[in-house]
Amino acid sequence: MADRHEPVYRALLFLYPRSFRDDYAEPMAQLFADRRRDRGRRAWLEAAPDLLRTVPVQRMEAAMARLSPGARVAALAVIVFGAVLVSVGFGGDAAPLVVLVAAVAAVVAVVRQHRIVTPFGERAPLWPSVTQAWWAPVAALLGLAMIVMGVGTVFEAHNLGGRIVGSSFLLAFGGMMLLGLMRRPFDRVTGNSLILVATVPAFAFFWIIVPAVAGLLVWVGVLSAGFSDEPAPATAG
Amino acid sequence: MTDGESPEGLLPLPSATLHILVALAPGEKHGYAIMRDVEALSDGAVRMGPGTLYGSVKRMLADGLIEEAPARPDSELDDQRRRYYRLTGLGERIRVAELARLEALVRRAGSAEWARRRVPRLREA
Repeated sequence: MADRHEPVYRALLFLYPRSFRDDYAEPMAQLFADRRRDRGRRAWLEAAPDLLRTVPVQRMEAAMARLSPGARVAALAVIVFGAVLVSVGFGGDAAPLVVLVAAVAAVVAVVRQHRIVTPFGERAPLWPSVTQAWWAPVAALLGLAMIVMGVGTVFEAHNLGGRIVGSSFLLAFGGMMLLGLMRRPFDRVTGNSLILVATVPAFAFFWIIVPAVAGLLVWVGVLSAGFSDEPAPATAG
Repeated sequence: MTDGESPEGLLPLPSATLHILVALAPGEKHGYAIMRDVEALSDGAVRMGPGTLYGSVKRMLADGLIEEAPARPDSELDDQRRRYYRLTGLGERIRVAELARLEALVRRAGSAEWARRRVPRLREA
């Protein structure tokens, strides 16, 4: 007598992405049939949790495989941003920590597997980056301060949504500053652009004088050293 | 990854990958045979469902650790839906390297020297 369970399992295999289904639906159905023969209904006790666990993984892998490297970075950013919004919506003190850990884990996992190529190109080590010019330590301190403040304020309980948005901006600008410093020795225009844009928060809170002065020093340093590698046009003398 | 590459970059292996490599060491097997052998190897502690098994198989094929075996038993003796897999040269080297790593870990963890080690106490301020 034909087994009625195998068609049910076969129908559930449609939850997997097409690429995975095309390759493995037949052997998986065969494997389930073998298991049913040996274990009877208890086969479902293994197959059901297995489906719940592996369908999202295969869906995610298939979605990532379809995207270009840049789009994968953007997709990850959207996922993290979505998680932030959801955590703000539901509230809860642990939500920012969960989002932070998830974001770090996602980035580490993807980079470890070399599934994405960072769009920022070659970068210098940290120490030569922060000592490359007289103003570079000031820029590095400014970036570091933004990261520290971003991490610090995310855990404050009051006005959770606003804090998370503010912290995300501070972390992004702080990271941009350090990235700009690392990128500058290889691509002066890109590095300088990142550094100058990253000073914006220092001027946003103009009534706090120290960050604004630091930002100003960075602007003076970057522009006085030449924004690009190209020689300045000769002036008639 | 090709057969000529060093296995160290892939170590340590995920649990499912290691179990599948060990199950395939004696020779080529189909999915259900791998599943049963993994259970037997682990005294029932590791049970793979079809999604876990074939998800791992997919990644191992992509990494070049295993390959699909072309030869099949007589179709009257076996279901044609079954696929047989076997270790590649790289898969075999990685299996050996990972088992050696685990053996060294077990040896060190069980040694008297390790048992005598104490966590240094922090000095009180």
